[in-house]
Amino acid sequence: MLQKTWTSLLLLVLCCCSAPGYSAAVAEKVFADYADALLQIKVLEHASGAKSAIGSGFLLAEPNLVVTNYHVVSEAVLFPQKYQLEFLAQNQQKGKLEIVAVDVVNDLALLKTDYTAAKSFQLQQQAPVQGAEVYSLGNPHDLGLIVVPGTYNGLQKHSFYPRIHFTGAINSGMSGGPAVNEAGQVIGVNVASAGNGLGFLVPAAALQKLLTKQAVADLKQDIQQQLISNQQDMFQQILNANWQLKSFGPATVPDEIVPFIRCWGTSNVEKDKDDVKRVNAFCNQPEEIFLSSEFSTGRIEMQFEWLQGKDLHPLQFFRRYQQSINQMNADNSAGEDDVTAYSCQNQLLSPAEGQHAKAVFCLRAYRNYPQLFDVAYISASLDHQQQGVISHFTLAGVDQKMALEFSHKFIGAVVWQ
Amino acid sequence: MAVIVEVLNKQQKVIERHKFLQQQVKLGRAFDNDVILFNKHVCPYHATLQQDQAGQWWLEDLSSVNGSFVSDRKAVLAKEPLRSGEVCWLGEQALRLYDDAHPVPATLPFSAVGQKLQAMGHWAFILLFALILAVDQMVEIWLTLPKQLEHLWTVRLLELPKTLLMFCIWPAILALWGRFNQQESHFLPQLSLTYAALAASAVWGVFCYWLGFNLDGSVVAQITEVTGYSLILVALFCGNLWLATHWPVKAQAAVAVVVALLATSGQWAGLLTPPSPFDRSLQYDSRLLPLSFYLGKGKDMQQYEQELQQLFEQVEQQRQDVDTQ
Repeated sequence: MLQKTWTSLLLLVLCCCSAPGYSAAVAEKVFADYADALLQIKVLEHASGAKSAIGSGFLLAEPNLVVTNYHVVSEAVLFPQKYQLEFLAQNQQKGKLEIVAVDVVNDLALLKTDYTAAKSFQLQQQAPVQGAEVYSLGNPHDLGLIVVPGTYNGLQKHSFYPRIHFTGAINSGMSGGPAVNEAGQVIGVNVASAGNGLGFLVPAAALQKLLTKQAVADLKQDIQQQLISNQQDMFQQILNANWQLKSFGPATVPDEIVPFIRCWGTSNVEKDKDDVKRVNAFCNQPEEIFLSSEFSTGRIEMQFEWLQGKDLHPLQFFRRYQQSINQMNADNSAGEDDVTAYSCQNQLLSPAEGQHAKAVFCLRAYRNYPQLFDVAYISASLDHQQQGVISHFTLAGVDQKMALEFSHKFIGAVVWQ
Repeated sequence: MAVIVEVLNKQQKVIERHKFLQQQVKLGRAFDNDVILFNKHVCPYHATLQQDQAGQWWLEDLSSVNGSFVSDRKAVLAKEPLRSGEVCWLGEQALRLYDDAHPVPATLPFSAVGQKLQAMGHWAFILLFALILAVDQMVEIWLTLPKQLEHLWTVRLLELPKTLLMFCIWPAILALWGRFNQQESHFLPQLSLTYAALAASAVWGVFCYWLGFNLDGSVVAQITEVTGYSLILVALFCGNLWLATHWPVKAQAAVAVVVALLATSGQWAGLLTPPSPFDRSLQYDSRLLPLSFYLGKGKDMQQYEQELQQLFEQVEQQRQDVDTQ
């Protein structure tokens, strides 16, 4: 009913005045209605009382919980003895917050509070239509609450995680704030900005799911479970996919094997001056899961290089070939307390079918999230005197089974014709 | 019976040796003495050495300004007896007295090692080692210089004479040290020895490259490599010390081992200290050679996957070990 009223009103207003004027008016109304339910979330250090992080949050009506991003409150989740949470409402009311549940994959956190507002937010039950007006609310850079109008552009394509594509300028301090429709119903939670007026929202559905989840005793263990099941989902999808291969020099290599892995390529073929011809292909799943300011996980990366030195002596060629495999780095950032040091296994492979290759497999374990590892693999084919194919992948946050099955499929997919 | 008077420098090394048949020897700065001394704290007529009827020699001080002393710095008031081989001082000038029946140490036979070390000073050896280094340098340039940088050949080649000149400094220091210790300088043998060690390191490096590739960069290959370099340095320093000093062989060997370990301590530390989780670049052996250089058979996929499983278990164990610490 309310929607119908709004639609007719919209048509009416569209006839009378320009769209921006309309937007501004609605924005003002939304802001005025819900200002009380918009909160600034502060992470305070116990010892010094100093602010260590700041973000936005909002009060849900049913149940009476504050929603924000996990990355805003991560310090208080991981180090509850060191940090505490506090909110600051528009009316300068302050109070403590307690963490109820988190979803690291969708970057959400639910916080308990005794604060109540005159009007709290409701979740929108069905997804908006493409092009609908959306208002993102938040508290950027500690300057006070603001509202940013924008457009709903559906779910982000080629993304493993459902994210709403929002054209509007989300700033860093707006993280955790709500994005609402004209009626003030929450359609998503501000999570990231891609610059140039591009923003991303976590859909309300993910929030709905977190709200219905049962309370857990140990948050860290819960985070580990979330990471485990998320990587299982992601890798099951990758492993079950029928890998599309592309021809790459003398070999075939995996291409965009699933929709959320994208590939690019470069080469130096035009530059005749180089005595080694190089062709590169690069694929990745770039979205990371934020765990702490030092530690992120979840990326997948694959890289291929074809080298050919027609005029080179094999020894000369292999020296240049070696230089291409001696710079393998960890793909994700991690602090000393987060991971063990990498251990590498170095082996010459001679599979029954296929090419001889030198393979290096490096591994480190997550210290606080058992069963999860970062993996880096690089191999160089050895059967040819003046050409070779390097295949490389890094996986962040996988369990042993998924890592080994992926490796098996990956090694099998790099085939010389 | 004849007497031998040795004039010693401050390090108690002999700088003059006189033999007298008479029973009185005059010592001092004046030119009509039997032993004419240079030291300015010695009086023109400082002291005399006299032999009594029993054949005993006595040091008599001639009321000198700075005095005369015998063993344990005992001042000579009138005269003091001196035994053969004993040191005495006129002021700060040390002298030693021997009678001609004093025993001398046994003849030192030529040692085979010593002779070989000295023979290494022949220019042909030096040339040979320099040639090995030149070949190594040229191969390295040939392997690594890209086609578009070919004009840098001469520049890269000129690094060789620079290196060779730089490594002349070490034998020169040793030669000076030898001279200072009043021994032969042995510059050419020292130079040859240094070049030999460089050439041996180059050859060892090539061998270890191959070994590392064949052993899949295992710890054994790494330890072998560093041990080899350490042994080459021990041999070099032993030879250096043998030529430059007359220390006992054990002392030479001990010093050589200590210095060689110090010089390779960086490599040893790299091998023995565990990697840091902060290190974003991974530690592995990237050496590659054409397949024909690999003597082993390599692993098939099944074996490989078993090994990877072991790696997972190992890393999990590490994680638990770190946490229990």
